[in-house]
Order: sequence, then C-alpha cells, then structure tokens
Amino acid sequence: MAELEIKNLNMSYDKHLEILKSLNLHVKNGELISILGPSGCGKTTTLRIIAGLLRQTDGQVLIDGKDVSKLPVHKRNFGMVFQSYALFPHLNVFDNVAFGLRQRKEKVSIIQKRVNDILIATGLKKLEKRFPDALSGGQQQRVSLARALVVNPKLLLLDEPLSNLDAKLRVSMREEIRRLQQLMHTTTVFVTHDQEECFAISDRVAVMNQGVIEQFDTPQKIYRAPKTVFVARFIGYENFLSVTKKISSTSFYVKNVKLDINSTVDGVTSLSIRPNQIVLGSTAKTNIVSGEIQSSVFLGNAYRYTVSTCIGNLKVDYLGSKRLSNGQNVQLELPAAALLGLKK
Amino acid sequence: MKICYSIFTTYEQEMIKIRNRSAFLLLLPGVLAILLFLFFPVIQIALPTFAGHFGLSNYITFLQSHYNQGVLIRTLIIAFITMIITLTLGLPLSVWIARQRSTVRNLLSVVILFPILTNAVVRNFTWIIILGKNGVLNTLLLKLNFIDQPLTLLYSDMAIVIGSVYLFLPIMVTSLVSSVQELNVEVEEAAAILGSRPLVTFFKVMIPQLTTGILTGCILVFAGAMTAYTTPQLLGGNRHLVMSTLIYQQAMTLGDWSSASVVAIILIILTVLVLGMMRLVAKQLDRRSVND
Amino acid sequence: MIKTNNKVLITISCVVLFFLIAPLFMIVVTAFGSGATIDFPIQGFTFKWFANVFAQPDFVSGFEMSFLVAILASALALLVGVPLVYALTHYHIHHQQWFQVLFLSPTFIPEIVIGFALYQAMVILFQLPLLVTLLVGHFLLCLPYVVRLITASMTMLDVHVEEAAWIYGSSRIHAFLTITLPSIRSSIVAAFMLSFINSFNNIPISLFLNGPNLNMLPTSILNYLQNNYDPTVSAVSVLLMLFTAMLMILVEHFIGLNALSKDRS
Repeated sequence: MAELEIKNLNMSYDKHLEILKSLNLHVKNGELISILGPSGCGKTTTLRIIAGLLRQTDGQVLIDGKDVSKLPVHKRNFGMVFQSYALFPHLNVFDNVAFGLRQRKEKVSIIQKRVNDILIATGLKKLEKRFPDALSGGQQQRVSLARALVVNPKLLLLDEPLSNLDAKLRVSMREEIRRLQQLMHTTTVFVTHDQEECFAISDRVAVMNQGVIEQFDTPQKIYRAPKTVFVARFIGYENFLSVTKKISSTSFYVKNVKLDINSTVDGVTSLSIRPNQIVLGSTAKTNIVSGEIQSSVFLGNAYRYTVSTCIGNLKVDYLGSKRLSNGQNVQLELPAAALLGLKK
Repeated sequence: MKICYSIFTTYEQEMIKIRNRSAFLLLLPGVLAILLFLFFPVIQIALPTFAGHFGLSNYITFLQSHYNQGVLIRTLIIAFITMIITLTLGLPLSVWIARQRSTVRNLLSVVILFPILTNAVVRNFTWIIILGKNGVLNTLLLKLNFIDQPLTLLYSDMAIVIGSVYLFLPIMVTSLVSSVQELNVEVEEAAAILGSRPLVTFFKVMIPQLTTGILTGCILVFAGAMTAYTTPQLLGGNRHLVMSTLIYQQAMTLGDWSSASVVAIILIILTVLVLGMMRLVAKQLDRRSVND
Repeated sequence: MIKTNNKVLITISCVVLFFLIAPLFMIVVTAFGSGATIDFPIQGFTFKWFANVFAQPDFVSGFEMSFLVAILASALALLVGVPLVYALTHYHIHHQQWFQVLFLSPTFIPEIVIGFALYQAMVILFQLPLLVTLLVGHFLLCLPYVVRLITASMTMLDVHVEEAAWIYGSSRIHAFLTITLPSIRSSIVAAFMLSFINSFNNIPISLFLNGPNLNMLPTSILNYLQNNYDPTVSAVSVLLMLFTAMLMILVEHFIGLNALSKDRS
C-alpha cells in the first residue's frame, strides 16, 4: 500500500540505444495500473527498474515520496509475479509462499497463519505439500501471486503474468488478480501487451511506445478517445487519414474532402475511424466520401469491404444480408462523432 | 478379418526378426570387446584372490595390515578433501562464468578446457617446480623472510591434495557451469524481491537447485582423485602411497602380483560403490521433486 | 540474485582462475632458463632444452607411438561405437539400459586396473604382443567417450528423416551413410578428438604395457622426471601444451569447442 511516482526516468544500455526517454508516471495508493505496449517498447524495463532489478541511467523512483533508487532489491519490500512464475523448484507450495516471511524473520506462528490465510484465499490449501513441477500452469501462477501478496508488499509488480496460460484460464486468473488486489488494496503495476486483458482489470492504462508513454488514461478514455496515431492503431483503429490542411481545430481537409470532428486534441496530424463506425450508403450531406468496392471478406458478424476512395482505401464493416459485389459504387459517411483527431 | 490380421502379424513378426538380427549384429562387436577385453581380464585377476575363509582370507590379511589400512584411508581422505576443495572453489567460479555474456563465457570456457586437455604429467610437474625444496614457493618465502630454511612441501599428502585439486578443478567447473546455465534467473530475482540478501539467495535458492550438478561434479572428482595414479606418483613420492600407486609398487617393484590383484579388486569395488551411490542419490533427487 | 559484478564473486573467481593458469605459465618461463636445474625466475635465456627434447630417443619414439596408438584406438572406438549406438537408439532393444551400462563400464574400472588386468590376461596368459594389448586398453578408454557423445546426438536426430530416405528408395545402409552419418558429423569429430587427446595423454593404462621397444610419450616423461630435474621437462611440456592448443584450434575451427563439453555422463 503505497504511492508510486516515477520522475524523468531514463534508461540506455549505450549511448545509441535509448530504452526509456524521460518517463513520468504517477500511481495512486491502491490503484491498479497497466503498462500496455508492443514487445520492445520498454515496459518490462520500466517494471524491472521499479523493482530494483535494473538500475536506471537517470531519474527517480519514489515510493510515498521517498526516493528508493539507491535501495537494493531485497530491501524494497515489493511483490512481483513473473511471466515464468519463477517458483522455487526445490520448495513445496507452502515453503514457496512462506519464503518472504521467513526472510523477514517473522515468528513461526505468524508465518503459519498468514500463509494459511493466503493459501485459502487463493484456493491452494489442498496443494500446499506439492512441489512446483507437479502443478499446472494456473496453479503455479496462483502460488506465485500468493507468494507475492503474503508479505503485504508496498507495491505489486506483474510482468505479463498471464501470457503463458490458455485463453480460458487467462480470463479467470485476471479476475482473481483483480479480486485479490481489491481485497488487499495493494498498489499494482501490471505489464502486458494484451489490451483486452488490461482493459478488463485496470483503473488506468499507460500505453507505451519506444520508451515513451503516449497516453495514460482510464481504459474507457483510451478505447474511445485515443490521442495519438500509435495508441489508436494499437487498440484496433484501422483507417488513418493524413490531414492535408487544417481549417479550424475541429475541421480539416484530407486531400480535397472536408471532414469535421466533434472533439479534438492539440496538433492533429491524422484522422481515424473504426471500420464499424463508417456508415455505408448514407444520405448525409457532410463528412461524405464516395468510392468503389474493391474486395470483401466475411467476418461473421459483418462483411468487411475495402473501398477505394479519393482519400485512400477505407475498411468498412457493414452488416447487410446480401454481399455487395466488387466494383459497386457506394457513399460513405464518416460521422463527426466517430471521427478522431490524432497527434503523431 | 481374421486372415488379414494373421497375415499382418506374420509380416510384423518377420520385420521384428529382421530388426532383431541387425540390432544383434550391430551390438555384437561392442559386447564381445567389452566381455573379452574388460570383463574377462578383470575376472581373471579377481578369481585367484578369493581363497580361504569364505574366499575372503586374502582381503582380511590385506586389511589387517596397519600399513595397508593407512594407504586405504589416505586414498579416501585425499579424494574427499580434494572433492570438498574443488567444490568450494568451483562453485563461485562456475556461477561467475555461467552468468557472463556469451563471448566472455566462451573465452573462459577455453581457459577451463585447456588444462583438462593438457597432459597430467605437465600439470603435476608444475607443482614439483612450485613446491620443491628449491622451488618457487620456498624461494619466495625465504626471500620474504617468512622462513629461515626451506619447508618440506613436496612428497607429502598435502602436495597430493594440491595436485589433485589442480587436476580436477576444471572438471568440477565444467560440470557446474552447465548446471548454473540451466537455472532460471527470475527465480533468484523473485527471492531478492521477497527480501533475500545475495548470500542467502546463493545458499538457499541457488545451491538447492544445483544439487544434481554438484553431485555429478563431486562424484567425478572423488572417483577420479581416488583412482588417479600420476599425481600421487609424482607429488607423493614413495612414502605416501595411495591405492593406485600401491598396485604398481606391489606388482612392479615387489613382484607380488597377487597382492596387487587384491588392491585392484578393492579399488574396483570402491569405484563401483561411489559411482553407484551417485546414480542412487541422483534418482532420489529426481523423485523428490515430482512427489505430491 | 547473484550478479557477475558482485565484488566477492569477482575476487574469488579471479583468484581461482589465477590458480588455474599461473602454474602453466610458469612452466613456459622455466623452459627457457639456462641453468642446469629449473629456476624461477630464470637466470639466462636459451632454446637448448627444446633441442634436448629432440635428442631424447624415448621422447621422439614415444611421441610417434602415442600418436599412432591414439589414432588407431580412437578410430577403432568409433568403428565399434557408432554401430552399437545406432542399434541402441534406433531399435527397440530389451534391457537397453543394461547395454548402455555395459558400454560405459570401462569408466567403472580404474584405468590402472585396466592396464594391470590386461597385462595379466592378454600378455601373460594369451601371449599377445604388447602393442595389441596397448591398443585394446586405449580402445577401452575411448569407447565410453564415443558412446556418450554419439548417443547424445543420435537421440536428437529426427528418425523420420532416415525413414523418408527409405521411402524414396534408399537402402538402409545407403541411408545411414548418406543421411544419418553426415548429420552427426560434428559429434563424430568431437568423439574422435576427445578420444584421441585422452588416449594420447593417458598414463595409467600404458603403465604396465610398455616394453623395451614400446614407449609412450607420457610414461617416457614420467621416467625421465624420476631421474632428472632439468628444464627439458619444461620444454617438452611447452611442446605438449602447444599440441593441445593446436588441437583446440582445429576443433574450434571445424566444429566449435562447445561440442567437446557436451560429454555428460
């Protein structure tokens, strides 16, 4: 239970390879935030620096306002769950979970009680005498989580903890993580490349790209109002249109087509819209572009058409009972409410 | 259906026969060579040693001699101390080597491999130069005025131990390095995050995971040091015999071939015991980790 | 977590590495000393001890003999070992584990005992020539290396590749020679090299099996050392180290030195 603040964090392995570029992040007490990004974006590096497993080139990591940058790993009092679970193979479930408490020289009776409580809370009580290699992936991950939480860590760090599990287990495990986190009110940083996963359990999400946090917002805001091209692309926007000329902060030319948007950000360079938000065969007067169907794919819930227009090819999802044939001319409306203005 | 089935089985049986025959032919030379050149000669020296009381009187006589007891105990103690020292020195070095970037690691592996492939005479000879009466160490100590006359370092049990450690350390290290490389570093990171100091992590998290590698290394070193001939011969001299030098002395110097055979058989039994013990303990360790 | 920049770890490692390397360096230095006995540090500089190495007939003939025996024994071990490993890994053989133990059994018998037993059985009982017995002894030394290394690479082979060759009309022997053997080439080379160097360096087996015209290099050095204490031994040691280094360079060039450390019992 603590507040985490990262100030101007820089990390580079040599002068040419900058992993993190003056990163700032503020996590409130008891909050669960995710760092979302593609592999190689620096999210794991950030987590390892917070944990103390890596030393940053520059910048500070503050816990409750105190700089812990110089504190060695074993004195930070954090909990961490690894992608590989990293259980102690020579210890059974009970001893794995008890490890942190034993390092803290707790009384045997206290260890016994706290380990017991967490084993019951995580549904591992029956397995306490088993060794890690006799456990399934999901069970191992539970042990890993119990081991991290039993010490009442100031901060819980999760490094892609679900990526080695199958799809079904992933859903139940992420709910489990959320439940325990809420129960213990532990400030948590969760690193993942899976947007669905992090949207489901996070209070806020930091989308990261090439060592920079592009947007730090609630999942709803990230999903509905991405601010940059990268964020929009990462969470599934398909159609990107470069702005040719800016008329006002909510009105732009793309080639010679005038497009209006409802809400905006500073320095718009591109407009974007999801395929399912384009209205095919619209009779509206504004935000209209006409084009010719190039090809179509059946997606199950809709057909996806590739429509070539004067502002480029657009992907359009349209649920009609009949498939439109290639070569057909169509009118497309890009509704101002659905069209986003994006920074680079 | 029934006919089909029977045709199928005869065909299968025929195939099995052919395969059995070729397997037999491929294995034959090896089996014959081992039986004829290894088992037969060993049995041939072993048989005459079994005579008298339950066939053991030769062995009882041998073990009753205080001199022989001394040789046997010296052999075991030297092997044991060598094993402990190589392990103590080898563990930190192996961890260090195993965790280096691959270029550095490969370079260090060469440094470790070179002595293994270098002749044992060469590697023992260097200790004659160092430990001898006018050797490097004595010269150095005299110059520094730590001593006023040369110490007798060579031709002692200690010299044999030093030589054996030097001989077997690289073997211990190779065995350990590959074990350390198999470790998942995240396990140690997890320990650190849970509050474990580096030294505690080393003893409570790393070493327990290395038991198989440590055991393999220890047994290789123990069995090797116990049966080595060159080192005790060169560094122990005539008064510090071990089992292998005793065999040679009994046979070649004293011409007592039957005593030599007795010593040889005891040495075989010891080796088989030690190596058998390793397999047993290794199996035990494997089983422990999969129980429930 | 233990990092390589841990000061305690660096200190211990460097001391141990020094302990491993320094003595060998010292031999090299003493080989050039001009004194009649071995000094360190050396008084003058000379190459005469190297010349003296070649003036020792035992060393020269010993080298030839050791080289010859090592090559023949390694080749023999491969000739016998590769087929049996193929049988063990490609056929379902009852008690396969026992065969494995049988072929590794030379490692269970102390080398000096192998030499001693062979001398009594082969030389005294069967009156076989010393050279043949010596070869047999070194063959026994080499066989386990071959079995271990070749087994390791044969079990990693995809059996279907060979089966594919049969389906495309290749005979079993032809498939073995053109498909299987080339794909385990590097471990064959590694097994040969490891066998060769171990046979070449071996003392205990040859100890009982030398005679008036049969000297192995290591035993010759051992004998020389028992009567003399001059830098000739340093010089021959330097030559042997160069020989080892040359072999290592060869191995590194053709298959990579890592192939040698795959030998795990």
